[in-house]
Amino acid sequence: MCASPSMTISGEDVDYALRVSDLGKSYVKADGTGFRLHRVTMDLPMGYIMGLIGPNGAGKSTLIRLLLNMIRRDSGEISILNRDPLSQEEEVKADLGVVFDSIYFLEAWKVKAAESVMAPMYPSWNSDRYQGYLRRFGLQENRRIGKLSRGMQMKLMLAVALSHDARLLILDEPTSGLDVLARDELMDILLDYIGDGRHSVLFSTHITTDLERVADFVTYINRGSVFYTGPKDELMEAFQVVRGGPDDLARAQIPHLMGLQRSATGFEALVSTEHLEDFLASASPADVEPSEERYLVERADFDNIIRLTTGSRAAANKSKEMEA
Amino acid sequence: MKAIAKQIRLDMQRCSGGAGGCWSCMLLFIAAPLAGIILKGVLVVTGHNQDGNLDLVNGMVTGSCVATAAVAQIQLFIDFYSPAARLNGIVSISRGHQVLGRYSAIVLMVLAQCCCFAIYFRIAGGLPWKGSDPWQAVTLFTLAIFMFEMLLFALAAPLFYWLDPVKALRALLVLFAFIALIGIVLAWLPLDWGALMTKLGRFLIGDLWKPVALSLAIVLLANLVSGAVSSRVYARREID
Repeated sequence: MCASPSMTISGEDVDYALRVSDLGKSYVKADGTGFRLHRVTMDLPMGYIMGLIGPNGAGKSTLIRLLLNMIRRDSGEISILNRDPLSQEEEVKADLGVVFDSIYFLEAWKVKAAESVMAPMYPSWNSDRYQGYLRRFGLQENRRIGKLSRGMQMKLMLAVALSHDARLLILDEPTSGLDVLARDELMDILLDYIGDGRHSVLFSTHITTDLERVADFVTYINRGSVFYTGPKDELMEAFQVVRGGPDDLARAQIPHLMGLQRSATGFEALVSTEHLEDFLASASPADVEPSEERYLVERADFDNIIRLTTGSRAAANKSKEMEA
Repeated sequence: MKAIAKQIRLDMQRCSGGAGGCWSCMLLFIAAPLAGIILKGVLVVTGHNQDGNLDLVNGMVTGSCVATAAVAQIQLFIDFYSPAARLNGIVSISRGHQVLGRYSAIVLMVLAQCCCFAIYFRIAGGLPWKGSDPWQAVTLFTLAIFMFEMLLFALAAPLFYWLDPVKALRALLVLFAFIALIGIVLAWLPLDWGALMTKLGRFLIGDLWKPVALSLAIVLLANLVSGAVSSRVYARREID
């Protein structure tokens, strides 16, 4: 569950679209409370899609703003498309396509103004492709941007992001405000986009089904720290969900848990696959049935991992462990 | 240079009043002088071109020009506090070039406005003050408008890069009050203001190139200092 090491495939070095190392950012609010993004490390190889997941307030949007140099980092290094986004900001941003959770155009503009504003920013702007996306998304050029629904505004930003051959797409909650059909369409577009191996995508989302469908890599951020970063399949295989009755959880088993939810009818716990046997072995002496039959064990999915680790002490301890 | 040109274009599009085009922005800036020329024509045709009416039109055109420039400048900075500010974070223009581009855009727009303003006065507005050489009078008056608008921008821009629009406006008002206070203090000083004004008048009605060169130098210096401060402030600003 640590940051992915340098990867080699078939003995060749991998080209990275994005490399983040020990990235840190602290906010201190007026009331003394604060938020800290701490030692975030992750890598996105070229030609792949990485999903950024985490509960609200975990630091996903802060991370994206740090990548775009919209806020200043306190520590760490970032490399985007093998360039330094601080010293080569203009070259880096010419190769980025960005979608935020709210529109970044003036609401007084019409849709047709978006092309006149953005086309000069990108040498490889493709007007035909942009017009094609406008038609595909049903965007009318004479409509005021402020009058578009949130979903249509999102589609406008997507059309712009996809129309200049950006080598890295950074999407912050791109599917919020989209209906199911539109989300499916977007996922198809992203899969096509990376098909040639020269483009990559980083997108943050709450909708874990989108991740399961298209993501190759996942970075899970919780409380400002990276809980996991690496291949999506390894994350799914790394955890098991264990369910049992209200009295089936022994004190000796708790250190093996990554997350826990109790209710009147029983408990639901997240256990790492490598510690599952230890967890089962730590059960109370079986007075009725063997531990393997006492519990229901199944592979965890994204929803379970997020739900059971958000706010859990074990997850917080793990974050502290990673900090140490 | 390309990055600065991109920023100039972007800021002119932002000042276009919703049309999203550069030429719309220019039209807005020169609308008052153009309207003044048309209004003068109407007054002449209808036989109402007495001095009083002309002075009224002159005043309206002058006031509208200054107001247009001020509103456009404030509008550019209000965007920092809307989601549209995020556009500054994703365009391929560095922070330093964004500041330089914005200053250049303001200079271009105000220059265009002043040129039209000069044409208006030469064609339709009569003379700013009677008994003077027409070209000199128009040039000096237009120069005064140019200086006023550019010095106002030089004073206001760092505040707007630093603070939110409401606080920046308050700070600007405090600065104006401070400047007025300095003026009052200077007026109380035992100086021969009459002699000073006479010298100034002779300087202005002398060789035209001297007041023009001096004014442009003052505007350039003020905006260089202002631009340097704005760059430093904006480099540290976080775009949410």
